[in-house]
Amino acid sequence: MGNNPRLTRGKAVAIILVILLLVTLTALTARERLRLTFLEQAVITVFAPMQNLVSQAAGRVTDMVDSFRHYRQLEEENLSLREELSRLDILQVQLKELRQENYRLRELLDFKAKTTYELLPAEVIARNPNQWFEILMVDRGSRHGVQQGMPVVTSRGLAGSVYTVGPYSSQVMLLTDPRRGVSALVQRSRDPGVVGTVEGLGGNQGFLIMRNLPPEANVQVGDMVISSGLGPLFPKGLVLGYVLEVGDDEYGLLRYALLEPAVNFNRLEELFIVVERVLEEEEGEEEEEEPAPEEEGEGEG
Amino acid sequence: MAVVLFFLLCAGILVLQGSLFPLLWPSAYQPDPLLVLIISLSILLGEKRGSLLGLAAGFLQDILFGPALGLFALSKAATAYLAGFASREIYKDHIVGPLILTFILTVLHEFFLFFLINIFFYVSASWETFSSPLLMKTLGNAAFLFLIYPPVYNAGRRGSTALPRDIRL
Repeated sequence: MGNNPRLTRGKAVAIILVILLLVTLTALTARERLRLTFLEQAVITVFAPMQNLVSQAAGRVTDMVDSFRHYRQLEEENLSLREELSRLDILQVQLKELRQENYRLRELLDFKAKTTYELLPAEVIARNPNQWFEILMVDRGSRHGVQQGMPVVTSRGLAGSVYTVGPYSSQVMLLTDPRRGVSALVQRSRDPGVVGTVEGLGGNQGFLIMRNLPPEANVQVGDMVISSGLGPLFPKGLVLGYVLEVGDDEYGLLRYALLEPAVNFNRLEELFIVVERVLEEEEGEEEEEEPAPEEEGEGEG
Repeated sequence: MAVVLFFLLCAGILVLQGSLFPLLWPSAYQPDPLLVLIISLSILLGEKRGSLLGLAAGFLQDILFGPALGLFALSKAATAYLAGFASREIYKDHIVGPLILTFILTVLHEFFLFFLINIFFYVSASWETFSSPLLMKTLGNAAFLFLIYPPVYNAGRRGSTALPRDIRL
């Protein structure tokens, strides 16, 4: 069989064809896709409950082990969180007052209604077992109203965006994925020039980098970096991280800032998918006239 | 039957890799038991069947976790082909040969991925990101070979339906 040159040539042609087919398929599907194929949807739908089951069981076991290992630390953390909570209660009352005042002032200045966000809770059921791409799977899909590109947040800040959507599960591309870039600004200075792109460094290094900062940018260690809202995906004001270090880039023309992400990407278990909605369109003029201090989520500043 | 068993095995491994492994290891250092299974099967079945199984398993991984269809299919099929090809030169009835092959092929598989990612994803995947977790990953895969290769080898010896009869050892 191996001595027959025609068969050997045929085999070589078949191998080359398969390689070409796969290369073409990879090139075509490497970009973000609006829709998954039927086969992909079927496989993901079958796998999602299994992933969910194993993930929950494994999560419970590790939580138990962790709570035994860090009992003392948890006790201290609990105490400090209680103190923090009492302080936040006071702050919340002040915030409500300020929101009402802000609403009245906006009305006086004839500002349009703000955009507000609806949050859909989702649980992480699987994570890409590979260092090159930071993608995870959550248990919410198109049947729950999830769409491609929706921002994904935690209570600490922006985590990423929805990458692909299946009927009952979705893939989320994290902020630390090297393909993800977010238009950002430094919250303190709000200098219009201080807009950079926050990108993952890849390789699971756990830091973000804000590039393309102009040389005169007013950035200090500890500054909070938020999304600028200039890109098509992410709304303004979502926390990305805190400045750890500022330096000049390799050519010395621009500056960069190394950021500690607001979100702990290694311990993501619950997330919120942001479903954007505009009050003006959904609730009409009459409801807008009343102050709405109980709105869900955060408003655009 | 053999095909169903193979897919169930791949499915089980992928579920564990996606759900349990992230809790145990950072993603860069996670071992790849699916690759070890493909290498083991390719050593016993040869390059043709091995690469087909690698293609199928890689495609499943692409659908579940891949950033594009074909990335893992290509890298796993190529690795399986090399495993099958190199298996002619090793003693299959002793674990040392497959162990050395797993070391080499894990490095090659990661290199395939590194190469393909740089081509298709416009991501400047750094050499350091590729090389620094390689030793841990290789050791992890070698450890998994001790769990995976003996049962696969014994299944082949018994002429189990999990492996075609013509390659019985």
